[in-house]
Amino acid sequence: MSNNNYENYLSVKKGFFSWFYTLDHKRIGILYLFTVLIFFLIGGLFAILIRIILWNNFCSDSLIFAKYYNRLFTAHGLVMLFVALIPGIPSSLGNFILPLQIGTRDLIFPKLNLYSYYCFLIGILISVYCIFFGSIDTGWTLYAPYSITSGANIYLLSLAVLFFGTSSLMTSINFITSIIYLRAEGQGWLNIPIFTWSLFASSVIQLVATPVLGITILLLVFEKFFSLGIFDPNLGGDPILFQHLFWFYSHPVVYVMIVPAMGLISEIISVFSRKTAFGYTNLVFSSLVIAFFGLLIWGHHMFVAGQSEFSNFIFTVLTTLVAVPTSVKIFTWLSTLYRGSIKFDTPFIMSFFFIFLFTIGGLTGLMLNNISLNVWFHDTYYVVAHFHFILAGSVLYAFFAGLHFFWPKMFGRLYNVKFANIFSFMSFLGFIITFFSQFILGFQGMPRRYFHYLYQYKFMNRVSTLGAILTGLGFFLLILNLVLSFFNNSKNSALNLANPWNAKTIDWTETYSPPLEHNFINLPILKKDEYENCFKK
Amino acid sequence: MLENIFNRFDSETNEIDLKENKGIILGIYLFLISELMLFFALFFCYFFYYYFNYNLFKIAHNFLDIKIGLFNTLLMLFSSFTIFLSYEFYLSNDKKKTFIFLFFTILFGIFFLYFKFYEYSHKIEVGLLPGYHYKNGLLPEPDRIHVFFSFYFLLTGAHIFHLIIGLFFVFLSFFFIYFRTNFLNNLIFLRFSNLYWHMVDIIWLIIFFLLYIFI
Repeated sequence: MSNNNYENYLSVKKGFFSWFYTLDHKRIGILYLFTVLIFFLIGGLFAILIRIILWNNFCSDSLIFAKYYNRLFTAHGLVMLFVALIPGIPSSLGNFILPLQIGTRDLIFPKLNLYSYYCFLIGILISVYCIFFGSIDTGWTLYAPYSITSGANIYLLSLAVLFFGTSSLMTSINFITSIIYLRAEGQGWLNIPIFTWSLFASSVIQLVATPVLGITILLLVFEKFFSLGIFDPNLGGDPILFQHLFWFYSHPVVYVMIVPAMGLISEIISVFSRKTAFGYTNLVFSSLVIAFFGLLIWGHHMFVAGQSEFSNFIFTVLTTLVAVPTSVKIFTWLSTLYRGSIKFDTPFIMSFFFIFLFTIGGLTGLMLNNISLNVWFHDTYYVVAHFHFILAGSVLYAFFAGLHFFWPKMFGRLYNVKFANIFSFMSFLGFIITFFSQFILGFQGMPRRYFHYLYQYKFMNRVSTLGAILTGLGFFLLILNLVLSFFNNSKNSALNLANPWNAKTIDWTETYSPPLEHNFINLPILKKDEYENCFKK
Repeated sequence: MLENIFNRFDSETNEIDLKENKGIILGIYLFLISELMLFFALFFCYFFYYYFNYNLFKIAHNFLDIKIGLFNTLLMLFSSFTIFLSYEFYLSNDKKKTFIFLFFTILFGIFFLYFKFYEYSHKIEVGLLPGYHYKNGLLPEPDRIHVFFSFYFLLTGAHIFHLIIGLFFVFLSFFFIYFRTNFLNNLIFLRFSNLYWHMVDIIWLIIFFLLYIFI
C-alpha cells in the first residue's frame, strides 16, 4: 500500500505555485502545519527571552525597558495564541485528516479553504509588523483604557486580528458543512470518529465566538478614532464592558483549542490499547456539552474586576459544571486503557503526558474558580502556570502526539522513534520544572507581567528559567526529528510504514500513505457499527 | 425544493452536486449566524449601558425623530417583500418581474440610506454626537448622556455598513441573472442575497425598537 511508486498528493504536481494555489485539503493542511510550527518556535523564542530577563531580576527604573518587557510578553501571547495554537490542531491536522475520516475526497468548499490560508498569511504579516513596529505593550488581552491611550498601533493590530478571525470562521464553516453533508455512505452521526466530532464541536464554538472578537477589536478602533466614550472612564465609559466582550471570545477559544486536542488523544489511546474508545457516546456528548457551556462562563476571568457578587456566583457555578464533562473524558480514556493491549510508542507516551498535565491544569483551574482563592491568585504566576499547563502542556502535547501519530499517514515516512521518545521526555521534564515552580511562585504571591520581583522569588524564577531552556530544547529537537524524517532513507519495509500503528479506522485502512490526490479510489461504504467493532476483526 | 431541480441522482457526480448545493445553503446560514453574533455583541454593549443608565437613555431617546425611523422601517419591510417576490418570480422563470422587483429593492435601500443621512446631518448640526465631540448642552448630565448617541451612531453605522453590503449583493444578483445563464447558481446567489437582506431587515427592526421606541 505504500511502495511510493504511485502518484500520491505530494508527487502529483510540483513547484511553488502548485502549493500556493492548491485546492487540495491535504496540501493546505501541510501549509498550515509548517507555518504553525515556525511561529510556534518564534513564540517560544520570545518565551525564552522573557525567562532570561526574569533570571536577572533587573532593577531598571527605565521606562523604556519596562515598555520593551511589556511588548515581549504581549508578542509571546499574540503569536502563540493567534498564530500557533488557535489554528494549530483544527487547521493543520484537521484539514488533512477530516475528509479522510468521513470518507470523502475533499472538504465541501476547497476554495474557501485556500482563502482561509491566505487570510491567515496576511494576518501573520500584519501582526509581525505590529509586534516589531507597533509598540503593542498592553498584554495580549488588550484591556481597554490603556490599549487606547498608550502609543500602541491598535489600527493595524485590529486588522491582523480581523484577518485571523476571518480565517478561522471560514475553516469552521467548511468543517461544519462538510461533516453534515459529505459523510461516507453508511456513516451515521454516531459512527463518526471522535476526532471529527471534536472538530465539529470546536467549529461550532469558533463560529459563534469569533465575530464577537472582531467587533470588540473594531470597537477599540472606533473608541480610539472617534473618542466614543464606551470604554474610557474619562468620557463616561466602562472598562469592564471591554473585559466582558473580550472574554466572551477568549474563554470559548480555549475550548476551541482543547476539544480537538482531546479528540486526538481519544483516537491515539484507542489505537494503542487496541480497543475502540470505551464510552464513545460519553466522549461525543461531553465535547458538545463543553462547547455549549464554554460559551457561558467567560466571567471567571473577571472575578476581581468589579462585577456584581451575583454574577460571580453564577459564573462559579457554571464553571464548576464545565469541569464535569472534562473529567468524564479523562475517566473514559482510563477505562479504554483498562484491559487493552497496550503498546508504548511515541504518540502513546505523549498521550500519557497529556493526561497527567491536563489533570493538573484542570484541577488548578478549579482552584482558581473558587472566588475566595481567586482573590489571592488572580494575576499571579498561579494563573500563568495554570494556563500554560493547559495550553502548552496539554494542547501542545496533543498536537505533537497527533503529529507523531499521523506523520506516517501524511508523508509515508517514520521519524526516529527512539529519539522522539527521548526528546518528548526531555520536553516533559523541562515543562514540569518550568511551570510547577511557577505554581509555587503564585502561592508565594509573585504577580504576573512583572520584570522586577521581590528577593524571595529569585530561586524559583531561576529554576523556572532552567526548565524553560530544557523545554525549548526538547520541543525544538522534536520538530527537528520530524523534519529529519524527510531525509532518512527508510530501512523499514514499505509495508509497515503504511500503517505502523495498525489502526483500523477508514482514514488509515482505506487510504494509502501518503494518500492519493483524491484520497480514495472508490468512496468507502461503511457497514453498521463498523466504527465500534473495528478492533474486533 | 432543490431535489425537484435535480432529477437524477444516479452517478456519484450528481449526488455530490446536490450535496454541494445543500451544503452551500447551510454555509450561507452559518455565515449569517456569525453576522448575527456580531450584532449580538453590539446589543450586549447597549444592554449593559441601558441597565446602568436607564433614566438617561429614556431622556435622550426623545431626541431621535421617530417619524423618520418609522418611515425607514416601512422602507425596509417593503424592500424585504420585494426581494422575496423577485426570488419567487425567478423560481417561476419570470425574469422580467425578477428584474423589476430587484430594482425596487435597490431603490428602497437607497431611499433608506438617504433618510438615514438626512438624520445624521441633522444630528451633526445640533451637536448630538458621540463621546468627545458631543456639543449639545441642553440635556442633563452632559458628561454621560453622549453614551446614548455613541450607541446610536455605532448601531446605525454598523447597520448601514451591512445594508450597503446587502445592496451590493442585490446588485450582483441583478448582474448575474442578466448575464449568467446557469439557473441553479443564479438561484442560489439570489437566495443568499435574499437571506442577507432579511437579516439586515431584522437587525433594523431590533435597532428601531430598542433606540426609537425604547422598549
